[in-house]
Amino acid sequence: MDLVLLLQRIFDALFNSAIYSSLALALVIIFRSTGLLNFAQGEMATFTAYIAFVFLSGPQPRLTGGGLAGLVPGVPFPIPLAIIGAVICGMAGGAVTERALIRPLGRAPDLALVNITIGILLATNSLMAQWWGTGPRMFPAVFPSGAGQNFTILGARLRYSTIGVWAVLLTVLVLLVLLLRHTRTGLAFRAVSISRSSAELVGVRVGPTLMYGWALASGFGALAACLSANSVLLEPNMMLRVLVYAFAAATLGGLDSPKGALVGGLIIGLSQTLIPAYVPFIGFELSVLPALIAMVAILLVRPEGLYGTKRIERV
Amino acid sequence: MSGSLVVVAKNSAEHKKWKYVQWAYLAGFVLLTPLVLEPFEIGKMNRALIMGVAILAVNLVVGFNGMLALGHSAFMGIGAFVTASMVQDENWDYWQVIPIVVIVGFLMGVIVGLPALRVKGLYLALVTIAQAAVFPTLVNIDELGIAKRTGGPNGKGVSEEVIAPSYLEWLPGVDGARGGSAYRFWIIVLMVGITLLLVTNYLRSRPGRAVLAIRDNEAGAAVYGVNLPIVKTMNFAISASIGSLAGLMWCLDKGFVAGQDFTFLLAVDLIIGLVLGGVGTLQGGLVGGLFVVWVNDLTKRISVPLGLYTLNGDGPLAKAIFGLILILFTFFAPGGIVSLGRLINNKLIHIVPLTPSGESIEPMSGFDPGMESTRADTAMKLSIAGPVLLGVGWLLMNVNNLVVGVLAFGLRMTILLAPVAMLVGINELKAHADGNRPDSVKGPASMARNLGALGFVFVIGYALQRFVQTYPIWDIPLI
Repeated sequence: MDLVLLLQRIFDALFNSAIYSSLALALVIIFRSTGLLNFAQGEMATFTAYIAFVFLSGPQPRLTGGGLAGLVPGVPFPIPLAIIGAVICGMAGGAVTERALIRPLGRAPDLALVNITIGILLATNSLMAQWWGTGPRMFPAVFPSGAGQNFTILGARLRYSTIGVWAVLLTVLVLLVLLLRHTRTGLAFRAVSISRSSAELVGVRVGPTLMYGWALASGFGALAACLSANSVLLEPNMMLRVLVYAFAAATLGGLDSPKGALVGGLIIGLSQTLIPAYVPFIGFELSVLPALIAMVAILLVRPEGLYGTKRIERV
Repeated sequence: MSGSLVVVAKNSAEHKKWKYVQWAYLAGFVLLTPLVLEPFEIGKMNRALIMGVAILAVNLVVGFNGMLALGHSAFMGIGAFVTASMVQDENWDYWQVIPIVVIVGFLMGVIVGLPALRVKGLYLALVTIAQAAVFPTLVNIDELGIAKRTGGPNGKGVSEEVIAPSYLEWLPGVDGARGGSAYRFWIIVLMVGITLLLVTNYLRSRPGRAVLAIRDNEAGAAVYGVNLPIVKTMNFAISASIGSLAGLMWCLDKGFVAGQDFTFLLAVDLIIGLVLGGVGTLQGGLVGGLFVVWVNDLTKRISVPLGLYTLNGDGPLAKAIFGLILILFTFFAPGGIVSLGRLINNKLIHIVPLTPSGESIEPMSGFDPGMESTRADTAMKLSIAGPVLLGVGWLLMNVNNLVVGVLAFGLRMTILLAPVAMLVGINELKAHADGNRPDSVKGPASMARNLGALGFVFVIGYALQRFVQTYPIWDIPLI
């Protein structure tokens, strides 16, 4: 086995892993607080990537769909500002979604919640196709990722963009942990995710707390979409495939564990690149297969995932 | 009972009459479909029925057993590919493939279900969605001769055409150019009927009741001696085999199968149909199937002239509308269209059960004179609704070509409502002549009769015109 090639493949896989991890984190945050799987997470993220695209491209109606950018003074933005703007828009969108569509349902059966998120998925997807067209768009690279822009470690190339994505992901993760551990909102959020009714009884305002949760999750999704939009090309269905991997990652790590989401994303990203490379039976066409098989296998042994909390039901 | 138009005792002559009317409506609807519709519309109807069977399969797991399994598009795909392969490669007949498809579907259900049912709730939803997501790529595997059987990325066509044998040419609509789709319609109706009958009986049987008990209270069911893993897995496998049967019908109808037909999006369509039709109702599947296919069709017709994008034949507007409808239904009508239908039904008729000795459980004193005249009023409104819709549709069609669908809708409403309005009107007039109704009934009732008769005559005329168009009688040589 060629060690350099192996290292190179691992380095290549790390970029995707970071994207899967951050989308999985978004799923986990929502699952922990609201107890529902947000099937629309990917589409909401793609939408914010389009918003960043609008910020970036300035007032060109043909390109940006109905001159939406005309509403924003001072466009085009530089890339970091555009992404921050998109993340803020995404957070607002997540909060509004929670307030308008999820909270009125209250404690509804699982199927109802799944329906709502699938409804959002379909509506957002078609709106994007309507406004920005179905063709792929060139989204500028956030970090330098051209030829030669890399470190060389033991003969394998580690791109700057991979390092950049991981740096962003880890920074945001540290911020998230600080937020959860050391602020009042974070405390309320943790209380709500442990027991909603008890938190309500001791006076935590559950509604706004959940809204923060949704905002955070959508922010994570937006970040993931903006960072990956260059490599997977911006188009309405961009995140659908990524979402399947993110689901697998979140399930693998345990749906209620942020650490699990990170580890799950790594495992899925690596297996997606490495298994087709070393198992001749599985071509790159089927790279989704090992991830899903891993997910099912882990669910069979540990239905709560690698790091998830075991659920005990009282009858 | 307040609010209901008519109060009848259960199993009384009136109740039976009501049931016959319902069956007559259904029969009329089925019979008119191949006679009135265009060939491509019959194709849509076939598609709707097939979706209906698949949604029924999903319903068996989601609605009746309370498990969130969303990946039945994969079972449909398996059924379709097995059928295509057996008919095309092995030269089997479609009906010979049915047992194979059912058995293969059942086994696949057991294989997927045994591990999948260990996980619960949303986790199961995830596993089954993974199954739906991976299926379209699985058919492209080169190993084991899979790609050869399934045709790989190119899909598989079946060259054998489904044509009515000569002894079945008397079936309505089965003749000439549009015989193909009409004949397939009758085959599919037959299969749908048999499937519905079997599923109804299954749900009334001992295992069926166990399935329902698990949905209502899993722990309670276990305490009463229900073997949870076996009942759940069997139910899942039965549902999978019905899904595969829908796949067989898909192949029979389209004559072409590709992995791209059975993606995650089809699974989403099935869920939409399930929710729109009614979760946990037998009719819900068929209603949902009709709705999914026709709304898709309608939005496609609207989006093209409006300059909206169309993705693989469905306007994106279709998806937006579906998303909106899905959210609205979840909020305002969680029981789906079937529950709305029941609501209307309860407004029309209230059936009072009887004790074994034949006395009614509730007082049957709902027959106050005021109610009688409202009955005639309603009949009149029924008779007016169809023609008005027709007229509006005609106007809209002339004003703007977009709303072709409204015309078709008005026509169908006339077909269904006019005869009933006429019958009710005649009935009320007779009752009035016998002295059983107040005079206020007379005006509305006669109007209902006349308008209904008018609509009826129009329908007959239309049918005759279509008949003559299809079978040009003056071309038949007399000697």
